[in-house]
Amino acid sequence: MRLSIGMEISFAVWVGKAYAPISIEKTSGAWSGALEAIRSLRISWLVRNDMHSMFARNGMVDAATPIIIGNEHIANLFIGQFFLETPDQEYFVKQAEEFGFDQTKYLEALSACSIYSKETIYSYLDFLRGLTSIIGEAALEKSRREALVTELMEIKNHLEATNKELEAFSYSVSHDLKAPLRHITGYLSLFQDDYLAAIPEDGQRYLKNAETAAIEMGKLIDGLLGFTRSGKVDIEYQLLDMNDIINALIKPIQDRDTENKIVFRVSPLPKAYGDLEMFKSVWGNLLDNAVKFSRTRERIEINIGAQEGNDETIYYIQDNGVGFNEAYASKLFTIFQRLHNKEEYEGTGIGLAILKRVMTRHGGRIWAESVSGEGATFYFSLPNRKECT
Amino acid sequence: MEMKTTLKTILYAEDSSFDVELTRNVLKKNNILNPLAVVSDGVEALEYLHRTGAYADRPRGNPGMILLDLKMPRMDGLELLDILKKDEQFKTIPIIMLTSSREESDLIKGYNLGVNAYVVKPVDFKDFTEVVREIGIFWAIINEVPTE
Repeated sequence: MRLSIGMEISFAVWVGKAYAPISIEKTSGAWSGALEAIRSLRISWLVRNDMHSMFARNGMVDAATPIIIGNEHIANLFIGQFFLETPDQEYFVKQAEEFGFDQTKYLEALSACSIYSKETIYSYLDFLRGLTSIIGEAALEKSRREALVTELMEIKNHLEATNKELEAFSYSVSHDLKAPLRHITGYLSLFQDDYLAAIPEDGQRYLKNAETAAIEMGKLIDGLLGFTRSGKVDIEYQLLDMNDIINALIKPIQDRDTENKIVFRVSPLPKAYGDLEMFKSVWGNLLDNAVKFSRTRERIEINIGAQEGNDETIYYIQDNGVGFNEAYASKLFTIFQRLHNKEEYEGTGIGLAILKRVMTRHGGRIWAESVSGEGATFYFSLPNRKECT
Repeated sequence: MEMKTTLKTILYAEDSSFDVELTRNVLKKNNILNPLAVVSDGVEALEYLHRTGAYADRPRGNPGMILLDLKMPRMDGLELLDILKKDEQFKTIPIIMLTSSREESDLIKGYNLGVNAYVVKPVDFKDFTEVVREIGIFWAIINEVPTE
């Protein structure tokens, strides 16, 4: 095909192949020959308004169409040079004379130049424009995707950096904050060991309270670190035998229960997929709570069971303890929130917050129901997986 | 032979003077009367062990046990542990890491480097006393280090 294609971006024009020998023949400076054609350039519509064409006075035509990608006019596609009609030989002979070109070569070049009808040009331009748009859109899509990937990578790197900072922070809390606390409890203890006898009773109590408070703070820091860790540790899914987990946890509680005050009723429980260590801590925490908040009862009754639904399995643990006011049920699972007086029922207010996080990470839920003074029931659900059955 | 009757020195690398004083007290209260050589970081511990710098004049012989704090300036506990466990001269000395940190990565690193025991210092001083008593009795008194 004689037709040559050029693309113009920011006014850089690539002149068509056929144009060059005609216009830049006998070069006396690269573009001097081009003057022959260009000085009489006129730009006009080639009938259709989505194409521009440039007519040189010598009859040569260059046609251009805009390349629009992503609604943006980013370049022009040129094809050229060609004639729409058979060129006037006489005119070109004159031109060669006027501009001092080698007539034979000039006319040879002219005869090599194609003649196209408007319709042919339209179809070329349509085809080329279509092809360019497809390639352009594809490239744009690719670069959009690349930009998105880059953006995601940036977010990922940022998150990793934040996580690292958070880990460093946990470490610092763990080490740096606990060291002075340990010194406080240490010196308080040494002081009491060596000089307690010399201190009046009130003073002794003050010291004891200061020590208790420092130890309590240590537990809070540990709890906070545990809470942070619970969101960080990877879940290792495996098939869990809930009855096995519970039996292992009940054993030491029963061993401690020398008066046989506690009665456990554990139904056969469906197995589930989850992290073993995490579910040991879930059941351990719920069992400890059930016992703790029922300890004023003469006989503690703890029932554990489950209900299998279509989408999820709900496990529950019910006690006959003091319960809680249901109006505050949502607060139960918020870190450091407690519904009972600390002096009455010890605890850091972190355990249930960790449990909620564990359940959320497993795609489950946790909630509780109670009538104040009449015991509480804690529920958690896990989504069913086909492998579970 | 006379070394057998002498209590072996415990080398204690710890940058906190409070921790040093508290540990010293706990050891004393538990009748662990081994001499305590205190250094403030890994670099100083190496000077002590190699008998260089300020320790050029100390008598020959390795300590019976090394208590190592994890976080110290210049050279921390893990770095020192790594060096000692690779050194023929020192690798048989029992090393106990004492730290406030419960960070798992430190624990794993410590065990990978061959630490003999790893103790998280409890905030409750009574627990701390118990811990120091147990490790003191086991490593400083009962445990027999292979003779060099």
